[in-house]
Amino acid sequence: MTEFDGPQTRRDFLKKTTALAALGITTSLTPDLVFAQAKTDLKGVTIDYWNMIGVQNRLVRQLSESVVKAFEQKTGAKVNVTWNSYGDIIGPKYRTNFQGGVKPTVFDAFDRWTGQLRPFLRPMNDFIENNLDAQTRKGLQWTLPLVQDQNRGFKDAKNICDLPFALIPQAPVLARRDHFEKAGLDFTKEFPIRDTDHYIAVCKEIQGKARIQYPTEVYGKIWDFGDTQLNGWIRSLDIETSDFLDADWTKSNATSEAWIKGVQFYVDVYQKHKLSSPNTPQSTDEEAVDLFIRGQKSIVHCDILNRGTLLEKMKGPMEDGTVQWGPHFPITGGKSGSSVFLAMATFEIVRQEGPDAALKERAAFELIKEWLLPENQIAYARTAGLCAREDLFPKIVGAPDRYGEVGTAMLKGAGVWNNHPRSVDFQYNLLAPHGQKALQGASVADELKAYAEEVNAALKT
Amino acid sequence: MKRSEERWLIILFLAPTTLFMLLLLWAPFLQGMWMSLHRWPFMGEPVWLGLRNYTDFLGAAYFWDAIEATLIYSLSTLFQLAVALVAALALRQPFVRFKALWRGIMIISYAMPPVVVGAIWLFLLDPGLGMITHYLMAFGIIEQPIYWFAENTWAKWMITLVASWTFWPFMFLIILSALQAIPQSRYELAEIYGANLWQRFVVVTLPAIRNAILVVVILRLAFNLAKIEQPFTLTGGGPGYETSVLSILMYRFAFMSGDFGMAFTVGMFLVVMTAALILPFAWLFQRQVGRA
Amino acid sequence: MTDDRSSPGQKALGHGGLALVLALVLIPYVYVIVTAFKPAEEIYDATWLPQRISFDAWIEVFEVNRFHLYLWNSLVAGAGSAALAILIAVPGAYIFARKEFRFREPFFYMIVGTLIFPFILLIVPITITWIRIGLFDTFIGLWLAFQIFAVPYSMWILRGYFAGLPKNLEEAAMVYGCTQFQAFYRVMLPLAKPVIVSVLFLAFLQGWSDFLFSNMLTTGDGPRTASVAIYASTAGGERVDWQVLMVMTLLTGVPPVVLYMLAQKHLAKTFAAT
Repeated sequence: MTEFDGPQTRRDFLKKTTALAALGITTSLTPDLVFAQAKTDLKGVTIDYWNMIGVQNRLVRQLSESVVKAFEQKTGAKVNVTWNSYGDIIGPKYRTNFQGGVKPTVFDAFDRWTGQLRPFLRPMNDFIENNLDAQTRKGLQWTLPLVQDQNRGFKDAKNICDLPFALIPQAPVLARRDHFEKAGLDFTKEFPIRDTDHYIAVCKEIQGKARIQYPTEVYGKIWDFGDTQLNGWIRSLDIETSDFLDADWTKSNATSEAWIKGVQFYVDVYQKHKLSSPNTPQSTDEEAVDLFIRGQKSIVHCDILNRGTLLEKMKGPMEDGTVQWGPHFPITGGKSGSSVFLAMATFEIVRQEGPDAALKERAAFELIKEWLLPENQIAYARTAGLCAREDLFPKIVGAPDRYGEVGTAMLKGAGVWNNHPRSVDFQYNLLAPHGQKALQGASVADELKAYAEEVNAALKT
Repeated sequence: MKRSEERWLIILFLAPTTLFMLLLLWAPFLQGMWMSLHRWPFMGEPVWLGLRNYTDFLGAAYFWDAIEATLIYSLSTLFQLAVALVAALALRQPFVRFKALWRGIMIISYAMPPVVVGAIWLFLLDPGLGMITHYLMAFGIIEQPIYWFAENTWAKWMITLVASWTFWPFMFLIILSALQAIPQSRYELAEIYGANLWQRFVVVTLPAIRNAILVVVILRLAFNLAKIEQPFTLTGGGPGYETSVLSILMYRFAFMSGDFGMAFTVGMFLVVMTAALILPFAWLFQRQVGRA
Repeated sequence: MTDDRSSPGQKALGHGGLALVLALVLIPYVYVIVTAFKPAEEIYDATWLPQRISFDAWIEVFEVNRFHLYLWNSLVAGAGSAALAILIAVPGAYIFARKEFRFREPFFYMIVGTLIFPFILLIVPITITWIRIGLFDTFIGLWLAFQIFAVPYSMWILRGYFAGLPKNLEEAAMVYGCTQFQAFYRVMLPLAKPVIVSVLFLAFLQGWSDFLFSNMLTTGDGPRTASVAIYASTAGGERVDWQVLMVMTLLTGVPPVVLYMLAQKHLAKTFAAT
């Protein structure tokens, strides 16, 4: 389903890339390349690419199509692209298909969802060492220890099976300057938020004076409870026990003091301070962003991935500085030095078999390299968040909403989640019911204990 | 000669059905029963547990939540029947015009993929953004938004109602067909004997569609209890375990925890519960058919 | 309709009931239509008329998503599944309805009883088997898998209909020189046309809107159906693109409605009281 199949005309090319072009975003697919004779290094090689990240965002989708086309033109290889949804890797599809033998050559995913597929993955250490140019390698070097750390429970943790291409620090804060001003607050002094006391104080001011009933939101729905701002708060209290699992993946951390205090604060925002809507047990960051756009919320935590929507639906305020990003902040008194978990969008190569295995694996890595080219990294950053290459960070700062500055500032000391084969179960499925009960008034310590017991039982099997 | 020919026909004609049934339904189901007696991880070695999965599930804190949610969810069949009856009776009336058009429109919700229907209702019912809350408040029907999916009392009923909205046309299709087969002359005859509207319904309509109603109730009970799309998109089984109907638990055990032993254990409870709910209707149906 | 002598009360009830159900069905649906024409920035305005009519979503659905290809796939998947259901269920149902043999009733209940099996759990073994025997990512694989929910109830409906046909028809045909098979083929099958059309239609609908099996058993370049494409391209990630979702939903809802209008008169004959 690549977009450039069949005979090409210049008009087709322009039409297909208009949305990106309209925003002044260029990719490695230049018109010259499109109409040049395709190269032949990898002629006859066909690879399957399962594309998941960003395919619901039309800009990222066009970027992905451009990257694939550029790769095909440069190498002569052919790529079959399949679009998948998050549910496919969270749910049974990838696992079952892989197990049965239906596997792509290369796919993208989030760093902490691939542990379940690790036996199928081909380590990329040699490629990174020998096939990556010095500049790109230097730009990505800092992510490699993080990837190794999140796979620490595997015997082959040194093997890099997931190569980051984009970053999602969780979770920055989005604020509306107009609401601050309506409440009589000096935006330059009160933003960014310093810690949770400050957060509560500012929200209460806005609630009282700017008449915003629920100026912020904590999220209870299954996919967002343990996936947005909660874990950063826990981490601000104690780095050691902030991940879902302990250092050697033998037990849950959820009964630690940091977890109990962190979740208690999360619940308090809703129950005690009444700053989060009654929808909290089922609320999501997507919904909060839409309420934010409509002026019904003032301060919300959300991934930079939402930036595309914001630009589409409130271009004016994004460009005149009314809407600004700020970094996540610690729980008051939390002195660990970090209040961020970093999710990474990564590429994985699937181990190939047969006579052309080496060739296919190399082709897969060449496609990844295409994604890592400066123009594509920057194009990604401008449409959906942060690119992974550190050396390109200076190129993504300077937007009026300051997403680049804020996002990159959050990376220092950020933690990564474990990539245990059952991480999806631990992070969402088992946690959410207990989290929701706590939000509805059950004892935080009891619910976390029950959750930890379920995780510990699962770890033993 | 004739006997053996008949025997061959029976064997030949039963073969596809039998083959299909054994290979695609009974074999995996029996294997599933076997799996429910094990700890059976997705990619790993099974371990014999005996009835441990069953006792674990019976003893789980959420067991009764799940049963209650499933029972309420099963009422979806009743709502579907009510709407389908009203629609079918209305479209049976001689004075209603453009029938073909209305009939077509009626089945729209069933023609759309259920996953998408769930997402659309989530959009329409959103307490802050959805148009339903907006109009309920604009018309002064409610003062504060209702948090349909976050409040325990509402959530169970909402997944039931949205499932009803999605699947009722199946009942409509069959009940309307049965109604259309009633000759107009029977109504005229009843009228000559002085039967009023209600009496005509009881004497002419109801007996003629009783079978169709039993058939759809049985079919929909079986289908509805297995449906996961609505609870999955609307609530994900929460808050807590409030909307964790058995089929959702089954899905979560199998596909999120990768625990097929437990998933099939829940599946067995679902089978038993569905059978128990269907049994009275199946009995009525048998009696009805036997009498005919 | 010329000699309509319905009382005013009956008319009021009939029209009232119709209006009620239509409102129930149509209000959400009209809102879906309206949203499909809204520009992105107006999506959450609870207005019935967009300030600016936008065709962006429609263009995206056809040009970028090539949704028509997936609709075609759904059509093939649904139609093939319906045809296969008939092939499997009609001969069996005929025998169960009109022939005597040992263990007939228990045997029949073993088939209809499978209605209540937890079929979502069957999906993993089926996926893995399909991959091994080469049915994965093929229409044949989808058609076969859909039979899991199509055959049991088709058998039931078909058997009921066959059983209701006049007794001794086959014997009469055989007196005129038909073989057993000819009696079925020439006499019974034409009489069963309404029920066959009905089962075709119901089985088609299930294949048409199925998500779970269609998603598990296909990949992007194979026979991926519309319901899977909708999910993957609009709702399966970080955000939902509502306009696009609405356009795709509209397009998916229409073909079965048209088919129903065509199949209607046969359905009417199928479910007549026995």
